[in-house]
Amino acid sequence: MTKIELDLSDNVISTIKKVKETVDADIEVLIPEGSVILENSINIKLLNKQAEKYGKNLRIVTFDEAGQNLLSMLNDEVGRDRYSEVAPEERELMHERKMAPKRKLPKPDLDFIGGVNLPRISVPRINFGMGGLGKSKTAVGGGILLIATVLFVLFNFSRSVKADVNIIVHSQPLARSIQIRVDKNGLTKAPEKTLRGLAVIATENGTLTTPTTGEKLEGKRAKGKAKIYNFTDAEIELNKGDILIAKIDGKDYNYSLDDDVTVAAGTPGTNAEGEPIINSSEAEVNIVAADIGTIYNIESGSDLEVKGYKRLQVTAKTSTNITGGESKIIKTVTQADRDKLSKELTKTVTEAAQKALEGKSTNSVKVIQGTASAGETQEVFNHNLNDEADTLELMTTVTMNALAYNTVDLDKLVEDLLKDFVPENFVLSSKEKEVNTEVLGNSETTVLNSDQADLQVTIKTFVVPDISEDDIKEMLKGKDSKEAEEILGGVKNIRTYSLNLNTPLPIFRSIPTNTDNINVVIERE
Amino acid sequence: MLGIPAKPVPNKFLTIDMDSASIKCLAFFTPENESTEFTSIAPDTKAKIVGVAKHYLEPGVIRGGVIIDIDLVEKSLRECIDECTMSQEESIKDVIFGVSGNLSLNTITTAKITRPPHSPITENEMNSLYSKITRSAFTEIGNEVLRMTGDSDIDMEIITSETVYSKLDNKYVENPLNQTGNVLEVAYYTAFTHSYHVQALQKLAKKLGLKISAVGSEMHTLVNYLKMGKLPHIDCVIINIDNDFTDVGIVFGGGIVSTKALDFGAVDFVNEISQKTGLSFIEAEKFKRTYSYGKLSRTEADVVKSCITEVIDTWLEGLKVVFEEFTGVKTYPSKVYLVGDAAELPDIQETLDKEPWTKSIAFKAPPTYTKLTLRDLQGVTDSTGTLGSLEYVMNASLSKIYMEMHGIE
Repeated sequence: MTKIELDLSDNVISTIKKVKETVDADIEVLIPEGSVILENSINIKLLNKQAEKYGKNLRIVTFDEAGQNLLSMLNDEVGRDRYSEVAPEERELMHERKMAPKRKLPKPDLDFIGGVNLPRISVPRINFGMGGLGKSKTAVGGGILLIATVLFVLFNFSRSVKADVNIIVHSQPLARSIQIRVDKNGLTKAPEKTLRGLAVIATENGTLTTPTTGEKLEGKRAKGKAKIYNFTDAEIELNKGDILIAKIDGKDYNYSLDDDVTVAAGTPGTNAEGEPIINSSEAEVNIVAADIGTIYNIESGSDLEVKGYKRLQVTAKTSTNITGGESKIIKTVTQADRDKLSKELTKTVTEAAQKALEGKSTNSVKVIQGTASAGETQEVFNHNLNDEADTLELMTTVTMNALAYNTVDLDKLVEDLLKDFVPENFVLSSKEKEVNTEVLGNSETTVLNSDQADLQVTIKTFVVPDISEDDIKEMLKGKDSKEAEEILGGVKNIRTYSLNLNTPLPIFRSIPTNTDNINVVIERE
Repeated sequence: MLGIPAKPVPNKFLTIDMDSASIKCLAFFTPENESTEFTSIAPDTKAKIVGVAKHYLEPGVIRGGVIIDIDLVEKSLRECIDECTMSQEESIKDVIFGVSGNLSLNTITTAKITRPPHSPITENEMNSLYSKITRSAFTEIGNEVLRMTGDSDIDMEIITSETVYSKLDNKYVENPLNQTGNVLEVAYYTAFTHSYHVQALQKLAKKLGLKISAVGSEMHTLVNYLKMGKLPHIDCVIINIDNDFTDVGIVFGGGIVSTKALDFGAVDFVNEISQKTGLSFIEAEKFKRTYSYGKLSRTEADVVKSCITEVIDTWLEGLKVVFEEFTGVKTYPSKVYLVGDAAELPDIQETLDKEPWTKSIAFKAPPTYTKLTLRDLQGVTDSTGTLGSLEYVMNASLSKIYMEMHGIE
């Protein structure tokens, strides 16, 4: 390891140059107390980044108290002991912890194999001589059984060997923010930055009732009989519908004749004084009130005028009680009632439909906010306009359309869009991908409707070496542990690895041939 | 800004910008209040640069922006001011010191309170809110200093503060005072610097008989200039490649949400040229400047280019680290303004354009770069004819403080 002691005048640039120009790969940099390098954590990060670029393993040490604190915090930040905060007097200890060019994770110590005492197995001696055949039969049988048992146990032990391989690979953060267009009628194409859109439909219905506000007068007309008196000397013919008038509470109320009637001419005669008079003739006829209402109910004997005749010529009187007249106010459906219901219910059902649309977002399908638009709206009232009804009920069905996309399609598009940014032999990490989408809205340059929507897609991920767990398993199976380590050490872009053989007996030092017994975990640095 | 208006109101002032390599001084004249001895002042001129000077410092006199040898700094500053004001009849005493790089820490703190909806907002209520916000900003900056330096004992001082926006019930209001509303939200910008730096500047001013009008954040004054006219809610990134640092500011809605500095600037490019060509620092600086203006012969230009290629790569790596440090920023605005001495190097823009350096940095769209010149400082004109470069833009932007303090719009 080469030690570089910096001067107070050294800054991050001069230090990077010194590190680069040092031949040794392992370098310890001692930063003096009060150095400007320690005034900004970015200096340390840049120094370390450049050292890695030049293939150097850097240990940074300092006397500076705040500097030590800074290095300690940076260690915490990266989650391992990359930066050393220890003072130089403790450096001896530090030398022992120096980093190897390709640092390995702690791995199982297989060297103990040579030192272990295997259980002694005592095999009975077999005597193949003819004499004593009876005893030897038992011995031979027992021996074979024992060997078979041992072989069986060993076979089972060999099958129970398991290998755990933990690989930490180099990774690079990759973040892009790209504007794409989701198009209902389009296809997913990376060059055009278009994503196939999906039409999402939600149908909701609801019912609402309201008291009606219209009013109508309804009832029956009073009926009865009246007698017509004719005081003239000529016959009078009255027709159905001719009017009789009753004075009730000072007001005139009309009744009409329900039949034609003829009243014979009055007959000449004299009164008590002997003066000539005409005695009236009479005829009875059915009458009916001209309108509804109880006011038309009048008693028998009530005076009536016959419209078109003077009282001295023709007059009339009810001959029966005129009864049956009645009236009441009936509720009816108005246009305002229908409009009110329609407005309130459409709003509620539309909101429900919008919620239903939002609810259609799943892990695989995302509905784009702001693309919802009203489709068909159906309204069914239980009464027509002006119908008699105390309440009006409406059932509304609203259909809403929105634009959505499939997250699998988006992932595919993102992968295609990022292809150019992925170095050779690297792939995008499928485990640590963070994709955020932001709706750009409607503007001069962007669109947002149920057919098309512009999104800003921000992707944060890592590029990791193109190594699969299955490939590693195939490469390692059946290999002895030393050979396996050589293979792992030769895999490109691996930063560190560990290989752990879980074996019931130390004699089994090979990686299992059954790949199910090889557990490979690939993590990024 | 730190400081109070001087009295009586003078119409000349100095803006001073110091870093580890040099002191830069500009003299300004504001023709607002009285008739002028200058006959060629444009009608829209609010502040006219009437003097300029730059003095290089001995190495180690200022380190990381902090004054180490105050006597030498005093000497250099005196000479610089004398040179800057030599054509003025009277001495100029009002001075504004700029703070940038690692010495300037900027943050926006947003506070939201629920209050009685029908009672008007009082001055006491606002003061209490601002007091809470300021306390929170102090804590935030304290943590930032600790993260940056590992030192929790550095005293910080507010040098600039400004309300970025106020909202009442989610609606923007110019001034919430005496208005009613249920939810009050205030975003408040604060810039801090080290207390010992302010004390050093005060000491320096006293020695030189100067009157400090303000100590202000250069990044903030530049943004305030950019906000004039049509860009009050500007979103942008500002990269100031100054002498010994590169300052990166992230601006959203016209407010600086955060700044970070890389200890790497124009001086490091000059040092490379000097070391690789054997020229003195001053000669290498001239060489670099001529190269920036495209005035070198092709062979000479090739030499300069080869000298700085590697160090520009390192600078770019450093810039990436800086962007990775803005943990609170989700996506960066694509509008990037370049300013500062080294921003003039053609290789800088070339590198930014060609290198896929934004691969791991979430810009909203591929970044576009614009170099800021004095012309971008509305109302500022130059009568010296020597300020064509981007080097003095940050320094000149400090004039905004003076204009705000004296109500010059």
